[in-house]
Amino acid sequence: MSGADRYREALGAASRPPRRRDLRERIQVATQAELARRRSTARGAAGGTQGSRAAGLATKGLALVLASAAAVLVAVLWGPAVIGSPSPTGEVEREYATAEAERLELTLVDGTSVTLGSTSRLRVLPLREGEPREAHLEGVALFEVAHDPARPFIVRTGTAVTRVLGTQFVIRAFPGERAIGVAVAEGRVAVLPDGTAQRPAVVLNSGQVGRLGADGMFEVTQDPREVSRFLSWTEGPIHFRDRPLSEVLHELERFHAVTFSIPDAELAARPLTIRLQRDRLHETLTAISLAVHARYERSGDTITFRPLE
Amino acid sequence: MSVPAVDTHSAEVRSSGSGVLPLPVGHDANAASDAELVARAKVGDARAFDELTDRYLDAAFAVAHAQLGYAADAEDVCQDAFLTALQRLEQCRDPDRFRVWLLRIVRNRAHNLRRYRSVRSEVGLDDVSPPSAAEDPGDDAARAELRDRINAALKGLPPAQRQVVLLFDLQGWSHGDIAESLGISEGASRAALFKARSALRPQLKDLMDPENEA
Repeated sequence: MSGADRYREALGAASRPPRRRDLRERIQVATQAELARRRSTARGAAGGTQGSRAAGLATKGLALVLASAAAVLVAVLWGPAVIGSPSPTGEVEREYATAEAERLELTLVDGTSVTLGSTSRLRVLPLREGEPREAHLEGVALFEVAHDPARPFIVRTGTAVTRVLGTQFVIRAFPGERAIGVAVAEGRVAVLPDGTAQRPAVVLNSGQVGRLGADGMFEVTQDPREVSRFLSWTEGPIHFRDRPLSEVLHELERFHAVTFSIPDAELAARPLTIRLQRDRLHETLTAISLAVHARYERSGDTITFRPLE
Repeated sequence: MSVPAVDTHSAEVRSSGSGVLPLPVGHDANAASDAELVARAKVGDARAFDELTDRYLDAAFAVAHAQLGYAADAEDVCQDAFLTALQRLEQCRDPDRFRVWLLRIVRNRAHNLRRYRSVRSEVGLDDVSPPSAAEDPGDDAARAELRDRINAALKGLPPAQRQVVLLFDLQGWSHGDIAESLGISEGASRAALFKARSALRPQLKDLMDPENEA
């Protein structure tokens, strides 16, 4: 090997991204939605069926518009799933999953629309004659349930069962979080806190949020703004109102492949009210730093917040 | 949807006055052209965009890292830049020069990130970690020592010189393409390369072939 070749080889080795494989995968994941959108557009231009759907929704006093196609995956990440053109019989159990900072928009065989949020998993059971429609959720999802009085729609999350009475609602049930939350944008849902009929069902109406804690207590609040915050991840910005910094950063971890650290306990508890863009990490961190008078340092995938001296 | 046929890509040859430089490491003369890959990516061909990513990720990282000094920040910028490039593919007026257009995006993103970054407790370049054993199984002690010398030498260069020497000597770009990507003149690119090599030479004189001077 000549000196020039050795020089060039060493130059390449010294300047190559240290985590090249990971970086390539990150770029692949980040660009999946846009590539899927382009394929869908190309199929549509060729006379094929559009795979994606942008929905404009009007509810009782609450207008919801799902985020742009650039932020929504229209193809499943794994598993035998059908998007946009569901199978005619719904005989097969289907499972859908999203990674960090991803969302999945899909239509179930009965016409129910689901927007699955970041790091979430949805299992849809096959349809059976005379039985309720049933799905199991781990994570967060927005449901717009197609009306079918003969077959109620049930969502199981951990110990709770939410029985849908014709509506639009969000369920949030991440492993490791202390509470399961249900927020109703339109219509009504009935929540069975322990999944059985031994405890009375709690009916939630439009504008109400129900939280089931680890202690089994189920709290209901009438707060349309809280419902709006429950749905805010589907629209883009995340709203926080008087929430401690630690909680805000924990939420951000769901949308970015980073881990936050706050060694100072007082700083971790410092409250902030802020509206953040879900997908712009550095702008987000700058805004947070200014809001809580802190600074941050990044080392690899770990970001540490410290008070300003 | 029809997929463009893969054409034989003409080999890229540069003359540096006293001789002809070999093709950059990894160049495949039979690969699809950038214009073909861009055309396929426009209609959602993931493999085509993967190929473009693979071709220019190192160059993009080199430019971003030279500007920002932190590998993690450079990675963020690369991810953002490739996504932006995909979203704006229709704005790439000359797909055969996709790489030049891409690196302009990288440079702008890196510039914006510098403006928004918080003050760090320590200022300085982090070490670009050597490839792990799993990624570079054929590495030996001599190569590792050489790589460390190169790395140390590069860290001593100003960002502009570092970017130019990596794009010219490693990626095989012309001064015209470098100038357009980095927003400088061709003369400035040549001057930066001369200064970079002058700075590197004492540490690497057993490697640098005087015939390669531009």
